[in-house]
Amino acid sequence: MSAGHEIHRVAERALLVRFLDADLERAVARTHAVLSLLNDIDQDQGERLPLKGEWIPGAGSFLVRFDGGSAAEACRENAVDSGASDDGGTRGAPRRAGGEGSADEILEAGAVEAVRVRLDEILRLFPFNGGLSQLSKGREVEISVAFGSERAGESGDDLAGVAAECALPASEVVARFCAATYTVAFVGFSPGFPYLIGLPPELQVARLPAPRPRVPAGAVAIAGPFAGIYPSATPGGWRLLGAAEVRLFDPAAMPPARLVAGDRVRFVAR
Amino acid sequence: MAAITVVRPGALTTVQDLGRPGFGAAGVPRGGAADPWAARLANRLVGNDDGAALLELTLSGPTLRFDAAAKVALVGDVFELAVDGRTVAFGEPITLPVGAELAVGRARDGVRAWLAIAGGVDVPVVLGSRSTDLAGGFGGLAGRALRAGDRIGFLPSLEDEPRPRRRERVRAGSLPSREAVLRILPGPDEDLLARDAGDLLLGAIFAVSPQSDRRGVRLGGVSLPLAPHPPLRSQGTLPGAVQVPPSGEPIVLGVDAPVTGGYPWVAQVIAADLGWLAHLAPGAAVRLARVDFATAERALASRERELDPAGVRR
Repeated sequence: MSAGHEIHRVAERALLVRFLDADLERAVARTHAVLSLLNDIDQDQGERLPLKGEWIPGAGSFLVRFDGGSAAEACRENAVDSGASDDGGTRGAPRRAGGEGSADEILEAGAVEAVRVRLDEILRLFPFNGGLSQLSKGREVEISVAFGSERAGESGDDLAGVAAECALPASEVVARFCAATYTVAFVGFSPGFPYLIGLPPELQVARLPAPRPRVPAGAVAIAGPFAGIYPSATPGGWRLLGAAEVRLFDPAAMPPARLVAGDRVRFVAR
Repeated sequence: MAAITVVRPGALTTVQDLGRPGFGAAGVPRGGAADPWAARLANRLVGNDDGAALLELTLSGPTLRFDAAAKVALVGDVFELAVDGRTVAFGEPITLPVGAELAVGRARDGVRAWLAIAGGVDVPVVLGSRSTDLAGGFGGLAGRALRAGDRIGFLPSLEDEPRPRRRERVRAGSLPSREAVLRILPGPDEDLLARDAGDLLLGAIFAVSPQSDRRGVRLGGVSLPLAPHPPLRSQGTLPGAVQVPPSGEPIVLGVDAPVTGGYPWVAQVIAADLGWLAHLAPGAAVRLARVDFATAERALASRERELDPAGVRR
């Protein structure tokens, strides 16, 4: 039996769907499964669900915005036309936006409530209650990382501290960190920043008590159940393990984020 | 191409339009003009489409030299304004001859205004928008605020004679900057407020903190206690979300806020009042008033009617 869900109307033109599984991984798996299902309904079955909107995954939740969105669709179509899209626009969590005219023109005020009711029906009937391993896999991406401050400079500044806190040698922290397979739960915080789940429990540490004013771009970091990579230099409170050479966000690319919800990631020490 | 030279940039002048929807799943905030109604009105005054790119001015405006004749309009909070050294009235379309120098001074009241130029500012479209994403460093003019010496192109005007507007409509985007009542809907984490904090949320007079920007308006002076709760999972957020961080002093998310967040989301400012956030000066007194969805919808419809009394969509 699944742990249920709740749907909040959070604004005039937005709904927030939350999965109540106590286990984060199961909640994330259910989020991805549902988004994939909704995308299929939207694309294949021709059912005129008024579900078109911008769908934004969180950690075991997703937000649906029905206000605006034709610009992204137009961009994506252009990218597909020019062959620039590398995902065909169908894989992973959908990022649909209103096609003909902006979604708020399509969606009358009362329709948001109708969508809430319809989504609730779909979620009640949806049988998926599995883990991430039961989902069709996204892309697999290998990311090469220089670990520790000697090799990675500032980006590796917290490896020694994390090792001490976990009562493991630094080399063992790196080995265990690299032995795990991660899944992108969602992208948030800053453009292209992937929240990765799959961090071994013994490596789960609290974030810094006060954030650093500047974390270098490419820093590979952990906090709580998540691992992540800073796409650009920003303030940040996660614990920094190493430096990756990967461009995670390119506004000129389509899609602009290198990693999206559902992608699998492995880290390799270099 | 018709162009403008930036003589002085002003405190924080950026290129904005109505934002960049559709990339939330990639972590990209929509951004866009902090008060979209003011920006749309400025555009309409010079005959532009609502979504034309314009300049968003913050606290002190730029001095711009026009290398071609242009028609401009400044809408929002009242700023000092002069053309070639002569003071001009705020809030009406201004026709500028070749070589004219438009000097926008300090905000006399409030924080922001929008300068539309007939034809619209011409910068590359990035992810469907010309808006500047300051945190991401892309869009607008090289992803940053204007600097002295920058040259900005503008597109040919769509129409020679903008539709006339009654003068009193011109400041419709300008709202009280010293005190405001923001109407709110319940947030999904409202139940995380401690027992008395709900009354405090609606009864308190908050003071806008100087640490407010396009990412969020911080409301200080009153701390809202939260009930004990397990750490929240990060979730998608919206501009207008009223979040309570551990300090208890709420933050109202702005147009550039990150697309996900982990603080309790206790209330949501109604869409019709979102533009007000752009005008609240540090120290402004803010009260929150609870309304229902029907009221929020009516307020939004009324806001749209105010923008165009004839009901003509552009």
